[in-house]
Amino acid sequence: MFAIERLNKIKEILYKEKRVDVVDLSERFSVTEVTIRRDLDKLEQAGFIVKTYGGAVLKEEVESSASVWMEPDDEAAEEKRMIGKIAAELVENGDAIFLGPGRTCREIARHLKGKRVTVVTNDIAVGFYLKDVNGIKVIVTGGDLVPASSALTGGLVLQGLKDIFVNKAFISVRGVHLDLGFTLDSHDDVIIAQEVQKIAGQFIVVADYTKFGRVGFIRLGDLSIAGAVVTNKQIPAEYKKHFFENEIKLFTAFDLK
Amino acid sequence: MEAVLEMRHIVKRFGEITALDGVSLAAEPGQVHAIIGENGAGKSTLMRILAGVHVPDEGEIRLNGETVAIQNPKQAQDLGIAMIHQEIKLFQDLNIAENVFIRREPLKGWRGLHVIDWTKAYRETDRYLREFGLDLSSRRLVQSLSYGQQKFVEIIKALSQQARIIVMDEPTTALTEQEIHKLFSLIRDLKRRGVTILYVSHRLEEIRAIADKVTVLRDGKVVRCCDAAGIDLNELVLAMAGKDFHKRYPKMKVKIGKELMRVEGLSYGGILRDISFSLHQGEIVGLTGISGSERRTLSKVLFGIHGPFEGAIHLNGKTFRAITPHEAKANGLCYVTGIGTEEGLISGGTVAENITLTNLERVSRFGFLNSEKEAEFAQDLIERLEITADNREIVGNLSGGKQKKVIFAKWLFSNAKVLIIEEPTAGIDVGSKVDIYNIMNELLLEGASILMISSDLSELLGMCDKIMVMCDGEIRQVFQRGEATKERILYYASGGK
Repeated sequence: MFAIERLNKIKEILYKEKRVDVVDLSERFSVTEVTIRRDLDKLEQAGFIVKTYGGAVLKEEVESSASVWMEPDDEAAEEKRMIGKIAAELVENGDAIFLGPGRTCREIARHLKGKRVTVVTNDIAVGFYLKDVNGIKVIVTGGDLVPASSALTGGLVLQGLKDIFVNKAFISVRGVHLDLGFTLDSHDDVIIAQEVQKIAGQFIVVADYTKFGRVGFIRLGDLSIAGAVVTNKQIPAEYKKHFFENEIKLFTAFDLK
Repeated sequence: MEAVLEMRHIVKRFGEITALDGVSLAAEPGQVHAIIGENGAGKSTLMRILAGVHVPDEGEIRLNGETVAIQNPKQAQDLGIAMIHQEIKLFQDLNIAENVFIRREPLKGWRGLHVIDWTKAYRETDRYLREFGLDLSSRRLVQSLSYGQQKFVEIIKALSQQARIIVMDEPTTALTEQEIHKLFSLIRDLKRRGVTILYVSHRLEEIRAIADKVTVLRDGKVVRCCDAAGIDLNELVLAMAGKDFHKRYPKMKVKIGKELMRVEGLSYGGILRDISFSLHQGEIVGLTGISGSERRTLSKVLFGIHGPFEGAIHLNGKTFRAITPHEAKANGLCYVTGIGTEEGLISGGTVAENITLTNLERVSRFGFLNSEKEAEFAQDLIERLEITADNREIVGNLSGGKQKKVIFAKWLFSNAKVLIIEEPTAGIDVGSKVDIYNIMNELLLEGASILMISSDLSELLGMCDKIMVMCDGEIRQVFQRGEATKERILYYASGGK
């Protein structure tokens, strides 16, 4: 089993049982206790758990705000977390940034702690999460709430973006394809993303590895519209080659600890 | 004049990498034809094809108008092509004549047996030595000769094999001023004899002094071919450098922290002179230079493979006036060597063995190697670095990119703080290349520091916070990120002051 799969399994157990035990987990996954402790360190850093003697418990506050902030783990949750960490490293003090909706962009928000930045977003969950974080100024655009999500959409989003300029914009996409470019779910999403592209110094696409080779409903543009792409190391080599040869910076997270 | 040598549309691929992409070249008798280009431009591959070391995938080679197929070095020799390599390939414990005539000694018939005619061998060798104004006896042992004199013996050897085309690869490397002078007069002598010389060099001043024609290679293609007379050196540098693609590199601005290593006034054996620099947390410092700049020697001295040195290395809060590889390692220094170097990998060993080699204590218990533990740690790193190999796979069978990652894994396993990384991406596929840059980012984010020794100028410009340019064992220039250009680096690297 891969380290990431194991982490996701541990999270599942945590959600179900609220607490885990190191010895028990090491037997379940047949790995050493050292490995499990290291996994738990990671989950603690990510804010999922509080470590206890011989194990860990699920962090209650995470659970309480889970309805807004932490929807149940979807595909590639750990990979999205890693993307969030690396993408946040690209943000410098004093930057104004745009964060689009989506789990991956919310992971960026989680890793902005300690930076002095202005964040413009059309995701109320991002606004909610960052509202009390020191040093971060948050601007939430207006707009219509998309049912069953925290994203804002429609003409009010465009109005909210009017006359704003950001150094870096992070947009997550549904599909990344060598021939078909970046794709999104809806026409509204494309209009917003295109507007964001106009107001951004650097347009950065974030997409976990499962998005590669996939195609969404509607096309945003060629792969060349991105100034940089933040993703995972597992993406096919042909994409790595394409981005490098087309002058697009490709950042991938490598968890070395 | 009719061309003695013609290479037409030569293509050579190594796996995914196209080293030569339709190279054509023509040389006349008595011509010194310089072939220049950055490292990786394809110069050595082209010369190795001529010398029969590599066989081209496409294209044609013509000698005196006739198509030839050069399948191996012996055939090249029979066709009158000789190669003078950068490193001396003489038998040190034999004398000059024995080296010149080795494996093809002049024979005399004696009652039906072929017996080596040593009188003739010595006579001929002495004649050559005299003709080139070398005051040496053909009976002198090669090991008693200077480096430059040995180079001349190699040229004499080539001539005695009736070579009509001599390839010289960076012939002036490690030669003294006087010896270079002598080499040039020897080359002029060869020209008068109608011998064609292909002169591979980085040193532009030399090209102006000795070449008749210049071919510039870049990324496996000929980008320029012109007469050497009256040539503008700046123009050549520009042709060599090509467009600057440093925007594609995933450089991450990492906060620069405290100093991790400082080298002060380091000199070594008359080769390295007064080297000083420092490395900080989160910083990548580039080190570049042409062959003969001794940049590799520097990394070996820093890691304790070569010594003793003068000056000091400050590392991990301690000051070293001498250092062993063990001490270097114990104090958080590591040396990620280039692929295919003797210090790199045990190519017959498995991936797991190679990875855990640098830190056996971590996988041992009471002094016994725990192979289960070894496998677990190795497998973990294999996943983290996306090596996509089995930990039991033999390293020698892996691609260049994977081998390089195994070298990285080997050091990550030992928790190094300062990494000397040699040619991080030479000879590996683009996908692995991008991976390696991102692995370096991750190391920097964790507070490590990297000394990146590279001859890939785009990579240096793209990834480094600072670039140091070495020439003849000295640091000639230091550029801050943003100050350097390919042209400026090449200028100082090829001896500019």
